[in-house]
Amino acid sequence: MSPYSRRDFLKVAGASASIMLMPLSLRAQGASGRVVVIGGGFGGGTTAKYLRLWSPDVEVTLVEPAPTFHSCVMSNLYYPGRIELDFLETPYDGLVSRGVNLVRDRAVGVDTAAHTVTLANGQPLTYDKLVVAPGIDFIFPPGLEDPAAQARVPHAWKNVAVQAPLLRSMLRAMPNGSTFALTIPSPPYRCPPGPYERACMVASYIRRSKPRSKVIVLDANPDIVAKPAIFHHAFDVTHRGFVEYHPNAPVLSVDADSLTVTTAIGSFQAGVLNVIPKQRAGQIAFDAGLVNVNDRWAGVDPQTFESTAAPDVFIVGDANGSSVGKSGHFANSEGKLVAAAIGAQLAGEPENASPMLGNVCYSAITLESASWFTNHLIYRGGAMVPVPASVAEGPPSGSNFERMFAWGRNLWADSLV
Amino acid sequence: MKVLRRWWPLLFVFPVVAVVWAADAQVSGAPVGRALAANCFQCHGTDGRALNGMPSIAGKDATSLYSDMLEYKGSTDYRNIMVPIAHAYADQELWELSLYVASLPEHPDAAEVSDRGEAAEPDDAPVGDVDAGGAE
Repeated sequence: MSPYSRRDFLKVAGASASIMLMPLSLRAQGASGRVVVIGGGFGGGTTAKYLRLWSPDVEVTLVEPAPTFHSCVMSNLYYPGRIELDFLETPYDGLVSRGVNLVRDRAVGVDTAAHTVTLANGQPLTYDKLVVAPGIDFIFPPGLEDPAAQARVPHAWKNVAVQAPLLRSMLRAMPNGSTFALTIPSPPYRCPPGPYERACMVASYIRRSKPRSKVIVLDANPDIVAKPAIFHHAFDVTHRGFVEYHPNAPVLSVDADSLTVTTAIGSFQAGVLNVIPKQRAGQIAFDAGLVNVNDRWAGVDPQTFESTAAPDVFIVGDANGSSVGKSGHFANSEGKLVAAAIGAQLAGEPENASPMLGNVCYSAITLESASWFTNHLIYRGGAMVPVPASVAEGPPSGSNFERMFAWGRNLWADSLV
Repeated sequence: MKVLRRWWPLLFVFPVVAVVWAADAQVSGAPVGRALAANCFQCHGTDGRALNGMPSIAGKDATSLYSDMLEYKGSTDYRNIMVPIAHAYADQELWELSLYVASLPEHPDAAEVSDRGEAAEPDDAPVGDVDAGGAE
């Protein structure tokens, strides 16, 4: 019989293991600190959520005035009545249950030197790291500066809860035989395929409910900027006779009273005028002094998405001036990258040397078919560069239409629940 | 040998500690594969547990996940969205993300279900069962 009992074995083993594991347990305590996130969209929501998941000792405060998130992704399906507004909603309860402090207010100022955020109610929040994820604001063309004019010519490109019902009510009230004019800005703008998808969805409604009407697409660009082969086929074949596409037509001015838009190729009078204006970073990025790319966007180091204008500030999603496309899926991916970068910095550990970003985007072509686009980017040589073999698009199909709903639901849940 | 007789239990302890330490030391903080795998979660659910319409991947066998991804990567059938996605990653990265996904629990515990409000659906749940308003 062995001179050692089971108890002796456990004693030696336990002592050895606890000594060996001690650094691990110390390290596992990891990051701690206070992070404030401005904006509860795909980017800000994902950053807040994944900070709590991956760095549970970090205190996370999310500043968001809206009571509920409404997704721009898939919102074009609302115009032909394929979905209702509630389908696009995600409450913030999921983030709260993960331990995110939700502050239902608007951030009106940032002092990047003092590391404080001021809320509309006057209360200051202090931070160790700040995430600025306000999305976009607009550069309105002449004639649309006034809120009364904007109310007659909706963009429906943000603030879905208010803008989408406004635009759909106009579409439904439009007389049969009248035109729906849609203008598309030059990039960078939020969701490159989105305007073309909207044209398809409005056409899907018109051909059924107002067959003497049509959609006039006035594109500032020389050609369709996203999924061109798919959308040309959609306009020229699938929705033939219901969509009229005009390239090289940047908006010069708008007359909101007569619903007339003047472009570089002429003036168009419409029954419903949907102008998607040129875009810039959300206002708080300007107020915080973070905008340093073409006077429109907040510059970032593409490895960490840390601001190039102020330390300890990260810009996630559409507001940043990186080369990354402005999509909800990419904003989610950036949110995870930033959650990891902040966690590493707060724990005093090295950042990911070669982060990757992934993107998938489904676009509805009809009420029964959708196409997809996907691309990945990798950090190489100081920039986020495309991985060429990862760039592809899928032709419209019924199975893609069904997958689109699963994609949307999982994307919302991964970002905000 | 007397020393060996006294300390032989360490022969069992060291390999375990070495594995745990190696796993931890690979990244000093973030587990290897986590950042890569997180790009699966938009579609396949947080920590690989998807809502209905997409397959969950959490807790699947690492070798089988890896061989599936290699098969996608070896394919030229770009009509399948997983083919271009697999092409984004080096083989080593596919192995690392497979290991990480395999390490995630397949089913959240009861507390996690109530925390997250929704439990994962089975892999074979129907696709696209939209509960929103229908066509006009």
